[in-house]
Amino acid sequence: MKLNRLFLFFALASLAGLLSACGAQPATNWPGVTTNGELIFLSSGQHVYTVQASDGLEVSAGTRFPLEADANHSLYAPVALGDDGLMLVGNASQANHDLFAVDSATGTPRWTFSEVKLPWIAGALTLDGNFYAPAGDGNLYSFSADGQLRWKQELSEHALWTKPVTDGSSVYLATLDHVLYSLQPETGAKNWQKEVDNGIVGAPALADGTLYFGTLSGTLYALNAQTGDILWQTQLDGNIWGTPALDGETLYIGTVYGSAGKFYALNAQTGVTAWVYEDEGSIIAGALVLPDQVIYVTEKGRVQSMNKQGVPVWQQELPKNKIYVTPIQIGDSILVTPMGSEFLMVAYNFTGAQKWTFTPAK
Amino acid sequence: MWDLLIVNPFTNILLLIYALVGNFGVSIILFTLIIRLLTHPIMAQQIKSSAAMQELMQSEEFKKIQEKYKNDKEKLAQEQMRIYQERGISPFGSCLPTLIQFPILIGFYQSIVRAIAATPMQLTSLVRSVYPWLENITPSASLSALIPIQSQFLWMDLGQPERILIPGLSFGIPVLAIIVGLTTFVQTKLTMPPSASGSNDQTAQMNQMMGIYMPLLLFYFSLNFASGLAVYFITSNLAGIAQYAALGKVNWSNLFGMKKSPAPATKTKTGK
Repeated sequence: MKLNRLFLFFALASLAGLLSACGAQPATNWPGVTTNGELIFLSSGQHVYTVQASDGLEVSAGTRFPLEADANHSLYAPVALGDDGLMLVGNASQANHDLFAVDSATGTPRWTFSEVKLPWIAGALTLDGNFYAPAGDGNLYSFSADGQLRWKQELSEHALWTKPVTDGSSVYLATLDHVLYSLQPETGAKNWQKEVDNGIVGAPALADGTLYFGTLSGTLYALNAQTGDILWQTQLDGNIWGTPALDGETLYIGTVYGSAGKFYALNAQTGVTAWVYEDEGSIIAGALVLPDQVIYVTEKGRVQSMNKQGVPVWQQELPKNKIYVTPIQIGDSILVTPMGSEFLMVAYNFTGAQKWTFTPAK
Repeated sequence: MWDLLIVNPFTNILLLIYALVGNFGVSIILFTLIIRLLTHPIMAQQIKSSAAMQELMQSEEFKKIQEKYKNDKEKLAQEQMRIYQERGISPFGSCLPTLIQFPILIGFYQSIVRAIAATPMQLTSLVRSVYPWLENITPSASLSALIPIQSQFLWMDLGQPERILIPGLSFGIPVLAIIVGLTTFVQTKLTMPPSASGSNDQTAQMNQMMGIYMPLLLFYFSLNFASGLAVYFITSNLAGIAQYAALGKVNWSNLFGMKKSPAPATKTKTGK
């Protein structure tokens, strides 16, 4: 009889394990990366790690936030860096929905905002010492550096997933509800809003008064940032997830085309395609523009360098990895954030040689 | 392959229902009822096999064999198999339907989680799962019309664990998880064979343990996972009770702790 009880217990425990991804704490989103040029702030699951850009070493385990691993922390949004070493990061856990303002030097919270009851997915924007944080409840919240709520603006019935961008005079926020908003930073009042053909996941790129962004239908838009008028739009193959990368007159963006991807270079003034490069992996992240090359990453773990005429220069493969995060340039390094490795970040030089990897100490 | 054959079709059916009714909570309920309806013949077969097995285990012949060969497991198994064959009972008749339903449960669970897509990474799976021809059935099933899925249903966000916040309390009340636990308990009790509740045989004890473990397990799931799953559990439990009631197999005496003698053999044989 005891055997039967044991069997039943283990059968049900197995079912529980199976349904909850075998007991592991699976990553529910891709990591968030922010840098101030010297330090890298990596939001990856239960911690925000502070890593030296020069050698990939963690500044100190004592600067992690939180100091001790906590199953109620699910930190994936890129941190927003404020004045005086303050960093803002929201919790995407299903059990805790706090927004933390943390002293980046010590990993100690200075203030916490707990009024939102849904996960924080997107990173916040910093402008003139104030924070603009898109929340899981569809509101955009603005806080002063000391944690005072300045205003909140209801923008969506769905969670806000996209980091706002600014030109200094307006704050622009894209939503999964197919709408792009322009807001006044002081009050949150809407300047204009523009509905497009599908959800927008990647933050817009902003240059010379023009907003560039793509939708899940694969339509790439250029909007007048002052008025919200469409300057041009063009249809690409696949879905657009990332933020377009600008290089003077050229716009670079990748798409998800089934399980493959396409990498486009387009004229930023007209939207006309200059060249397309097909990749066997989907391109979800945005691209990184360097002086003589452009780097994109794929869901199949490839880091691909192209010259500006669309010819591959070098590539690095990270087998069994998926890369969803836009690569970042820090000095003479290219920072890539894969998912699936024992390491959480890898830095390459401009010729694709590996410089360092970052694996958190246990 | 699992995605291709199970999760993707389930996800698309769920999305199609959502496109037609415009409410994701209602689409979970309707899809649960459809699955329950489609698996009803399997379930009816399971109930019938269970009843036949129960009846056999109560029979004098079976008890005599158990007693006679209690020290010879091999001979006991041979004799039991002989009786099964004579009476045309498959010893796995009540297990196989459960095993068939098991992948459906897992697949449906995964399709709900996929369709809710609570983060951008989860949305990548959903976007890839949507059949392009779905919009030929109704324009509201196109990708642009489907996304974002409106996950609000009644007071809850179906993509998040449900809690009701009461002023003055520092924690939320998991109402849905409690309902899941209760309905699972009630369903297990009501659908337990009459002989199981009162007897001391192994099947009865296993059933009684299921009546404790299952409500706790599903309560735990509902407490920690997306509330869309809890909506599925509650609907499935209520539909299960209704199915048993339609087959005349609901055993109210188990729920209220009343003793009830086992159903007469003739009743079981008719499969009523």
